[in-house]
Amino acid sequence: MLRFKTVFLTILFSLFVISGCSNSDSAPTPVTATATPAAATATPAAATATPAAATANSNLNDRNDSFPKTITDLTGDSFVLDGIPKNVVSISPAATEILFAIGAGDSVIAVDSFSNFPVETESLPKLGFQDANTEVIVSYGADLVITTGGHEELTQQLKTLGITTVLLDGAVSIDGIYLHISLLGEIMGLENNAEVIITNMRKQIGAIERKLEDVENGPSVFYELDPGLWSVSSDSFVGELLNILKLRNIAADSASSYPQMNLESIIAENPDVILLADFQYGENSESVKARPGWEVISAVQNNQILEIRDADVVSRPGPRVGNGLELIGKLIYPDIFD
Amino acid sequence: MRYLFNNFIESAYIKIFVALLILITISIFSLSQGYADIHFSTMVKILWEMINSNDHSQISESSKLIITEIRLPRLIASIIVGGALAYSGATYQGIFRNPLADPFLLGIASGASFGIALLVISPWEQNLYIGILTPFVAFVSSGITIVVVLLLARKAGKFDNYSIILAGVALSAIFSAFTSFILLTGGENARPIFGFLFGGFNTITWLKVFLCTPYVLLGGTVIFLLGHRLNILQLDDDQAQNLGLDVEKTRIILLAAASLIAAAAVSMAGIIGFVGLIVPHMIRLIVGSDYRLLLPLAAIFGATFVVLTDIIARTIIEPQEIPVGIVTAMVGGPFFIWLLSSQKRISM
Repeated sequence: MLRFKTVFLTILFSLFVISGCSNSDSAPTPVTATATPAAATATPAAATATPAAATANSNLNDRNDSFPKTITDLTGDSFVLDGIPKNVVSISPAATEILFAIGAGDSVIAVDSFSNFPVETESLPKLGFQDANTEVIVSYGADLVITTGGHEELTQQLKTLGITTVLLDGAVSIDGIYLHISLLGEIMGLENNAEVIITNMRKQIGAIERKLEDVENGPSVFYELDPGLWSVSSDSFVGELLNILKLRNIAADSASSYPQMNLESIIAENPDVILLADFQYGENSESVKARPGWEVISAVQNNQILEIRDADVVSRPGPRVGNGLELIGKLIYPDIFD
Repeated sequence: MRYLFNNFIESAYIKIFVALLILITISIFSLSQGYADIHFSTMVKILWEMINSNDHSQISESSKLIITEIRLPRLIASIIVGGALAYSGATYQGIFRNPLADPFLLGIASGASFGIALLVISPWEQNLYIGILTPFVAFVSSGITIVVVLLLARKAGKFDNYSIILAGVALSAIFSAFTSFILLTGGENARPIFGFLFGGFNTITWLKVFLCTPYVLLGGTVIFLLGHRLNILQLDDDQAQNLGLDVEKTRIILLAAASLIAAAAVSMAGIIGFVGLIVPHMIRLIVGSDYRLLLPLAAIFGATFVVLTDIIARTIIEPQEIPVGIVTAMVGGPFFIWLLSSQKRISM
């Protein structure tokens, strides 16, 4: 009984984590390296090479310092900030990316174990994820903590302890990401940078949508999160990306956001494309081909088993979402995207 | 009774006193352990100031916060939860004359967590009122569980030892499955259940301690007053009846009380396994099976065990922490296996 529970929880938990994060040993991000100018502003690591870098690396003098100010977070709760937070702890990989993207990276003093982007996070203390220790956060002298879905209790506790804590839900739409970015911009006194990031993201995503204008009906796709056949429905963040790319997600109508698919239903739906978001966990086109029964699926027959080499960019609701769209777009429509 | 009454009382007091001393020592040690580097003397000073409610000293605000709002409620919660789990475990074992009876194998913990999971995904806003309701809902759902277990295990007016455990394990699996189902299909609303299933004290606050402790005190008092009757319950039911004990009534009252404190423990800290099972056995090996002594010692050592495992949970992989349920299972599991395979027969 205990074993059943442990195994089940391990699976669920890893899923939960995959939905926001992935392997920290990921290869250097290929997308960033080949990023378009629009994408570059959203990724400060690459941004230093472009003119837009100035906004992302703005110094404190550019900051809007009309403090104290009252901030209303996305749940409707208000709090008063006396000044720009100087010791920020982020327990959300997406929030970490946003903080660095808007130029607030210098204030980040500790992150969760899955925050692996940008490279500056490597030198920061890692506080775990599900069980980020409250005492550790307090002893770092945190004056702002950013959490994500699943940290409701921790958030409540930190607020009780008098530490400004903002929960940015992990299950958001792209519009939700814009709200997260502008909220963090407001809190960090970097509204202008946040606006620039959002504008660039809109441009990047708009350009992708225009490229796909002539696509009537994209291929049907099975998005594999895990060799256990866990996938994403249209309610999930990744599901929205598939939608923008005009892909017909075979798991779109599932009851839960992260459904476990039945092999029979995958064969019956006969997807044109299989997207492997579990490439970093050792799955690849060869291993999928070798699975018994899969040879009848048209994606397998037509060699359309596509490996997502950096799943973080795709699954993390942060400033690199445009890069994630391009990453999948290039895999599926190489003619349109190159 | 082999003991002379006075001798028993005297030696029992000494044993309880020693056990309490150990608990207090480890508790004070626990307050000095943690990520933040707070010197022992500073810790004592902070506590002293808290008791006298003055704060003239030069101690930093964050050290005060860590001791009084993080480590102290966490310590109190682990004492109460550890004590409650072992106390209820010992009571269950006595009621059923079954060495395997504990809140988890009987399905009570799973029943309680299923009730709490339902409350978490309920359409009501999650606020203080829901917080007050939590231990109560946990008690009701664990109560339903125990009634079903009893109905399933009752044969010809008697409880069959194997059937009780089998029914408990089956119900526990059913409730775990339903909880998992809620977790899978409940979407965002169900997320808080995660933290709960792992079990632990990381997000404990004074409020939570205050909300759950009254239930533990109420159930604990009932067991404290009636616990000595468990000695008579170890006899055959007919013999016990002949000694003037209303066997059925005693069983039901003690069951309700034990379930109340187990449910309160689950609502406070989630699912923490093995404490209710192994601690009473440890005590039995040391002092024998007289419930007058076994019950209080089980509560004190249960508290000590959980305080110790919680120190491990929050310091072993600093700056991260691990759910305390993992530590109790890692420490408790091997002990339980040793217990099962050891030659020493545990007399109930």
